[in-house]
Order: sequence, then structure tokens, then C-alpha cells
Amino acid sequence: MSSRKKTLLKVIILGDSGVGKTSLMQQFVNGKFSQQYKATIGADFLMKELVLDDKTVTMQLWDTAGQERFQSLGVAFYRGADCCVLVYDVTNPKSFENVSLWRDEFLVQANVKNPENFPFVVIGNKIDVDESKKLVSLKKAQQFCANLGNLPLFQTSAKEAVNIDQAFDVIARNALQQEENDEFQDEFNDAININLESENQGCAC
Amino acid sequence: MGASFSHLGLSNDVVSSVVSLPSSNTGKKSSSKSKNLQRWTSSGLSTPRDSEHYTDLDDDWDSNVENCLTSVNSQPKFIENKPTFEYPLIRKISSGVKSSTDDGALALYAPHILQEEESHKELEEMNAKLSRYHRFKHLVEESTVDMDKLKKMAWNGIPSELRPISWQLLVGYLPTNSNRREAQLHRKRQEYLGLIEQEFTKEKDAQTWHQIEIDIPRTNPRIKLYGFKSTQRSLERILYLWAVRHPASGYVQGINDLATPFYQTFLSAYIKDETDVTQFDPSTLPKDSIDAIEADTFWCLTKLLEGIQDNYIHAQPGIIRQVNELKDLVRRIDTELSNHLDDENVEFIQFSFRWMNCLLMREISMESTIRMWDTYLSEPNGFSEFHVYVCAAYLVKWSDELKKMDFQAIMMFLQDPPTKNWTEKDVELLLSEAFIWQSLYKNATAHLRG
Ligand SMILES: Nc1nc2c(ncn2[C@@H]2O[C@H](COP(=O)(O)OP(=O)(O)OP(=O)(O)O)[C@@H](O)[C@H]2O)c(=O)[nH]1
Ligand SMILES: [Mg+2]
Repeated sequence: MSSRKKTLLKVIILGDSGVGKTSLMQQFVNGKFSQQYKATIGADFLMKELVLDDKTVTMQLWDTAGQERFQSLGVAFYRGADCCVLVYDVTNPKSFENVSLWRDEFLVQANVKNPENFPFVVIGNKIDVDESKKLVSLKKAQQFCANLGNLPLFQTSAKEAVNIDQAFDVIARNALQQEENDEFQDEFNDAININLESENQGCAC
Repeated sequence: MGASFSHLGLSNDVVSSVVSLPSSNTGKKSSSKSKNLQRWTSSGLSTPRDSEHYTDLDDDWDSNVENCLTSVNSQPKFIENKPTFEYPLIRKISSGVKSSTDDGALALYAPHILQEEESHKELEEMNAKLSRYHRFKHLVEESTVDMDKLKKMAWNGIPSELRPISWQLLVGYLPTNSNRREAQLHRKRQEYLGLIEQEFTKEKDAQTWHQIEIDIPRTNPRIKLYGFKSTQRSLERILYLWAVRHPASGYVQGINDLATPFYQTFLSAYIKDETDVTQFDPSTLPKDSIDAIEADTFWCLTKLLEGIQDNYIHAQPGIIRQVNELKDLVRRIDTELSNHLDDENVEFIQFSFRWMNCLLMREISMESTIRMWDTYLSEPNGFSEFHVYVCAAYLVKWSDELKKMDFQAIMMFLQDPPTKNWTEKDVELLLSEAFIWQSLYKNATAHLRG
């Protein structure tokens, strides 16, 4: 039903600071890894065009900041998301525990219509590290995702470009599905979105 | 710029002559930068000692500086655009790491032997700079520094050699009375060491430490200085100590960025002239020098953050306020742009949050930031209020481009604006534009808030 229109998919990526969100995004969008990324402040915006089957879609990606202090910002970035990616670091159990907190936070702030059906994708990043450093087992993660309603799970390495395209393909497909489900509702919302005049005019005295 | 000032009783000519300088003249040519070259003693007394290059870029301002000193502060500061240049101006005659006991002796200068191709005009420019430098030096070497005068001069840029002492005076760390400085510095540096000792011998706050640990390698990763262990350990101590002493805020990402201009500037006072501070490994310095740099950085950062505490406490109300002020301001300055952003559903918080949280440090170079702070430190509320006007000037600079873009293009553009290679001239133009917006709109904004 939206084949004639340019399809925009809005994706948001969440997770603790340092799990590798920026590195994942850069690997996906620009195909490179660098040690020189700075910590994300607020959120960074990225874009990527993808062809899914025979459909071209534009992904708008919001790479958010992981530090808790920035969470109150959420609304500005979460609204209208078609898919939410939850990232943890396989070397950091705390970041894994926080995945469900990030999910809850997203559902509250994004004001999602059907929370049960909203697409999340879980990513365990940094699988390139030594086995001895991996502190979150795949099994544990699989169980966790199963309990949350069979969320897709990927084990990735942003550093060595492992599983990135596979993960983002699923992210894009989930987002597309969500976008198509939501389209009618969105158009309805747009129609009633009245452009309010500013109340702060005329006092440049 | 799209704004009309006639309703304010200002002729558009006057305003546009200041705010709409053709961008082709705004210093694109200038790329060479001064190596920060003067040092002052670790005892904190101002002793510009030797200098190889002197490249303050504001030679034309000398007369304006005089105007500034006599006229009211609300006069816009005019910046003329002249090509930037860099000459070895003062031949260095002594070098070496400054000893911490060496205080007060004035630098010795030897007249520079001019290269033959240098024109008479250039000679004049150099002389103007040199004279400005000497007047500046004279000012900070007074037994009691006249802070009003210092602010007026520093607003237009501080010669890099005199920056460490000037910043410490401006931020309120160093007493204006030179007799009291040594004792004060001694006390504050001891106090810092005591606090470090106290905090680092007990168990650390794990969450704070973890966050600082992952941010240190991500702090200015492209500048070599910040890759050295010694730098990283110093920043780590400074940030952790600040965080535990300010529990309402704690460590918030971005504060790491804010520590670095101080660190780098204060470090520059301790190293040899021919060494570029951004390439320098601080571990080659004696421990008491490192301790002093660290302590000074810590206290100056603390002073700066006092003025913008609201930016980093829960829900970051200071930043939210500034973002709203920016939005209001842009609506007044450039209604078309403001409407266009609205039409494209671009929210100010989406692109300007970082501008506030990191004081535009992510958008411009370290050198530009340092120049900007000369002005911020000279403004009454530079970091909390004037900064918003700077952000407005920064945004409307791209008005023509932005108005042709859709949401996506706007976000991509503002994400990576073409300002990373800005020169001192570009920054100075931005600051003078901001100054004008502030003079025009400050009361209006206050009125709004009230
Ligand atoms: N070994 C390894 N290190 C990684 C990988 N991905 C990221 N890192 C490293 O982890 C650290 C944090 O990476 P970022 O991508 O900046 O993390 P982030 O989640 O964006 O962090 P915030 O912006 O603070 O929320 C950096 O030092 C990266 O180099 C990976 O796949 N493997
Ligand atoms: Mg990041």
C-alpha cells in the first residue's frame, strides 16, 4: 500500500554507555570501525538506504547516548520509531541486565500504541573478544529474548564486522512491517496535527 | 541573514556591516596556527619568558581595543577581515622546562630579524600585534589586575602566551592582587592533592569510575596529547574528584570535554617553545608540575561548572532552558528559518542539545574552542547565557542552506557542519555576531522569561 511513496523507517538504538552503539551504527552505515569515536551526547542521526526484496527504503537511525543522565531526553528521539534496537556488551553483565530497563523506558517514553507487538531487536556486541572475557552466555541471552516474546537476537562484532548486515536486515524488515501497520494511523495523526502559532511574538522591544 | 533591524531603530547598514560580512573574506585563507608558545612559571606568576612565534590575529583591533576601553560595553565589536598570517616575531633566546622556583623575571626579547620579502605593511601589522601583546602583558602584570580592563581586552582574544594566567584570573581562581597569588596557588594545589589522596585511597564509586574509564579514551581521540597515559591519568583524577564532590550532578558525559581546554592551556605554560602542546607527552614533566597543572585544571573546571550546574543535574534543566531560549531567539532573528524548521518537524532539542552539553566543542576545533573561551570568560555569564547567542549566530549562519533542505538533510548537515576547520577569524566573526544578537535581544528574552 505504500509502494509508491518513499518509505522512511525510523530506528532507534538504545543500550548502556560503551556497549558499542555508535560503533555498530558506523559499521552498518559506513562500513568501518574506528577507535576514535567520541561518546554520544544526546543522539546522533544517521541515514542509510537499503533494498529489501525489491523495495527501496530509507532508514533514519538515531544513535542515542547511553548514560542514564540523558534519559529524560528520550521523548524527542523515541517518538515515531518503527523499530527499537537494544544493545548490550557481552563482556558486561550489567549492560545485559539493563536491556529490559531500556525496553521499558522506551515503551513508556515513545508512547507506543501496541507495546506487545512493537518490534525490538536485541544485539549482544563485542563477540570478537577472548572467550574468557565473555560474561554473558548466548544461552542466557536466548532465554531472555524468548521470555520477552521471541525477540530476534544477534551476536555481533562492530569491530570485526560480524553479523552486522544480518542484524540490520532483520531490523529493517521489522521496521517496515511496523511502518506498514502504522501507516493508516500516522496519516490520521498528521491530519490533526495543527500547526500552533507561537505565543511569543511581538516583544522584540 | 534575513532579519530587519529597522524596528529597533538601527539602520540595517550598521547592522549588516557587522553581521553580514561576506563569507569569502572570513579567514578561509588562514590555516596556519600559532604554536602556543609562552609559558609562565609554575608558581603562577606571570613571566612570559620567551616566544618564537607570535600570531595573535587581531592586529587591526588595536585601535578598537582602545575604543573598547573607553566606550560602553554595549558597542558591537567590529571585526575587519584581513588575511591571517604567521610570522616568527620574537626570537626565542632561552628555552627549557620552566623551573618552579623561577618567578617573576621578565622575559628577554630579541628583535626579530625580518625576512626580506616581508613588506612594510606586514611590519606594521607585526608591530601592532607586538604592541598589543605588550599592553596585555602589562595589564596582567600589574600588582593589582584591573579586571574590567582585562575582560575588555580578553574579549577580543588573549595572546596564547598570556592565556594561562589570564584564564585563571578571569575564572576567579587567581587573586587579582599579585602578592596573594603564590600563597593562594600553593594552598589550592595542596588542597587538591589532599582531596585526591582522600578519594583515591577509599573504595571508588564503581558506576562513576566505569563511566569515566570508558570516556577517557574517547576524549579528543584525534589529538595526540589525549592519547598519552599521563594525560589520561590526570583527566581521570580531575573528573572523578569533581564527580564525587558534586553528587547532585555527578560525572556527566561532556564534562570530560570541558576539562580539556583548561588542561591543554595550563600545560602549555610548562613546555618548551618549539613543542606543540597537542603533541606533547606530559610524562616528561616533573611530578610537581603535573600536579600543579592538574590542580589548576580541577579548580578552574570547578569554577566554570559552578556557572552551569543546572546543565548536568537530573533532567538537565539548564540545557532545556538554553534550548528553549535558542528556539525563541531564532524565531526573532530569522523567522523564515524558524518556520522552515517547524515545517520540517525539526526540533531544536534534536540538534542543539549537544551544542549546550558540550558548549559547541563537538562542532569546532580545540583551537577555536580555546579562542571562544577567551570571550566566554570575559562575558558576565559567558557559558550560560552568551553561549545561547553564539548558538543562534551559529545556526543562522547556515540559514540559506538550511531553508532549502528537508528534515533529513537538515539533520545530516547539523550533525556534521562544515566548521571543524574554522579558523580564529571565523570564530571571532561568530562571537561578534553573537554579541550583536545579545545587545539586541537580551532584554527581550528576559522579558519573555519573566
Ligand atoms: N572489542 C570490541 N570493542 C568494541 C566493539 N564495539 C565497540 N567497541 C569499543 O567499545 C567502546 C565504546 O564504543 P561506542 O561505540 O562508543 O559505545 P556507545 O554504546 O556508542 O557508547 P555511548 O555513546 O557512551 O552511549 C569503544 O572503545 C569501542 O572501540 C566491538 O565489537 N568489539
Ligand atoms: Mg555512542
